Amino acid sequence: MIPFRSLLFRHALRGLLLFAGAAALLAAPPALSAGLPGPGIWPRLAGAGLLVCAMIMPREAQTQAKPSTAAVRRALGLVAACLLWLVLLHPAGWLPATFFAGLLACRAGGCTLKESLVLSILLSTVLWLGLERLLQYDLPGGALFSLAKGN
Amino acid sequence: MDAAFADPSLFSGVLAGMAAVASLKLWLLVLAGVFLGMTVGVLPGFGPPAAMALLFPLVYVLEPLSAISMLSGLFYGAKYGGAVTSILMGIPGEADAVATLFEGHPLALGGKARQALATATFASFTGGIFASLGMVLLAPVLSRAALFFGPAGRAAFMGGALLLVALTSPGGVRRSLCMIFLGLVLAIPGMAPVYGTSRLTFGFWQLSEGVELTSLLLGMFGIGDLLAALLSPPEKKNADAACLVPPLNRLSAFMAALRGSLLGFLTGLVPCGAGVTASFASHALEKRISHHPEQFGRGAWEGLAGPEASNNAAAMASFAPLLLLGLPTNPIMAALLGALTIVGVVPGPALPESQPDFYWGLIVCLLMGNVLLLALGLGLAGFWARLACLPFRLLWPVILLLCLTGSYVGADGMSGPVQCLIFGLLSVLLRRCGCSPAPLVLAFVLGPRLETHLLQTLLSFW
Repeated sequence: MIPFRSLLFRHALRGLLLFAGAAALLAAPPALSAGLPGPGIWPRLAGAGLLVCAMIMPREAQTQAKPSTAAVRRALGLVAACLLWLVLLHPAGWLPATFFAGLLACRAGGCTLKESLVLSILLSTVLWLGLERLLQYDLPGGALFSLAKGN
Repeated sequence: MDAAFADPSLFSGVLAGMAAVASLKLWLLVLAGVFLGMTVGVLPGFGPPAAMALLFPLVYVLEPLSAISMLSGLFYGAKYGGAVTSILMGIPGEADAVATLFEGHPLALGGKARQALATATFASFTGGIFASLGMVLLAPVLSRAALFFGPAGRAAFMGGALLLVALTSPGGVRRSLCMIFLGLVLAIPGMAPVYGTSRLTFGFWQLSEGVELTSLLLGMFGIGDLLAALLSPPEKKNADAACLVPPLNRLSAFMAALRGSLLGFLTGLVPCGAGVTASFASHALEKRISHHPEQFGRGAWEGLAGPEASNNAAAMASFAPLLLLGLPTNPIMAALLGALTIVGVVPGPALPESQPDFYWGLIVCLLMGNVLLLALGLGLAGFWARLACLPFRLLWPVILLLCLTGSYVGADGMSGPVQCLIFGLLSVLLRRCGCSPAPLVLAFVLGPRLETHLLQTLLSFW
């Protein structure tokens, strides 16, 4: 008997494809506009195609070996670093967000504390110099920085 | 081809292109592109599509020719980088470097790593130059041929290209078809291309401009590649052989490189995983015509030079359908098509005449980029070998933060990194289910164009 979690994973993609196809079909604007082919024709065609393909997709799903616990932990560390960066970006600004997310990513990846600190400082500084100074792109300074400036 | 030589616009176009590339900044960017491409080709767990995605936001801040030339340099530089890891470590960075591995790695193990690297470099150079010159001759012919296609023909051509991609992509036809339709559906939200009405935004203003191409690329190939590499760590590498070699004293297998170049150029024009097809076909051809077929698999120089030249020629030739037909033949070309749209260049048969400075300037950059590749490949062979030993744990935080920042810059807001993360997770799910994200990206880029041509066809016959 297939465990529930495995079954869920196996059907997750099919479910996602069916959902996307159904959304494209149901939320599409009218297919005809003043008696002529309208902006809804293409979403209907693509949505219907996706629904059909999702139904005929091969049943067997997981083709790769099960990853080790350490590998899963590293991957989760990556996702956590992404989320930390997203959460910190606007309140704290790009530079602190990149530093802390980099630190977390390095630690999750197995770097020593010294390596993590050096890499995070180097990375955030070089990227900041490249984007802000060289390419003149305005990175978010953060609410705290704005408050400190009195804005 | 006589028509091509007799065409006066060809020469005026080439002159306009030469004038457009007279800039030190442009050459520095091409050099940076080739160097970065070679670097990412060598680095473990990091492919050319991911590198292309990382540098993609630069199209917003650079001049059109500079941006596209740099991204192009990244592409063919990465193709060469894949050969370095194949030869030195027996790890092909990409599928089209597998045929290089058959002969290159045994040569490296036999103490001829430097010669093997030099042969691969010269073969790549030959393939690149051959295909670039082929594009010069092909441009007028293909431009005229493409003018015979109306909207119906173009729609059929794009549909056929997608079908061909589905038939040849890894994972099987049914999975690839799923990915193509998912790509088409993902391209729908936002403004309808012909009518300009908003659709499938579900009340989210963030979707009014549709799914961001930068975020899709960075998510699918940047974060997706990272997560895939983390979940299945790369094999243990051994690059010792690179240091134990005598200096290069002869060039071999030049004819094999020329044959490979021709084969690669012809297959590169077709959207069906050209690099892989060309390199395997070239290896098979060399084995067939060799007087010593028993040497193949043990380190035959022809078997190394042919596939490597064909691989690079196919990469270069794939610029022809992209620029002259607006048809990307692989995910990197799809990204380049997106970049062309952003910088305001309309690819198509009229491009050499409507924007000769851009078209011919790019061809000149491709030619010179191959010369730079030759110089960097020969001059920095030892550096590439050492770089390949860099631990992955030091690389992936850098890649991750580049992805997040790049998607923020591309979307100019938080919706970019959020979409990037979502597509990264989706990419992992797709890979775990045996689906390749490449057809999805191709369909996403081609979707709006296919819809436009299809609607124009329907409206003309209604």
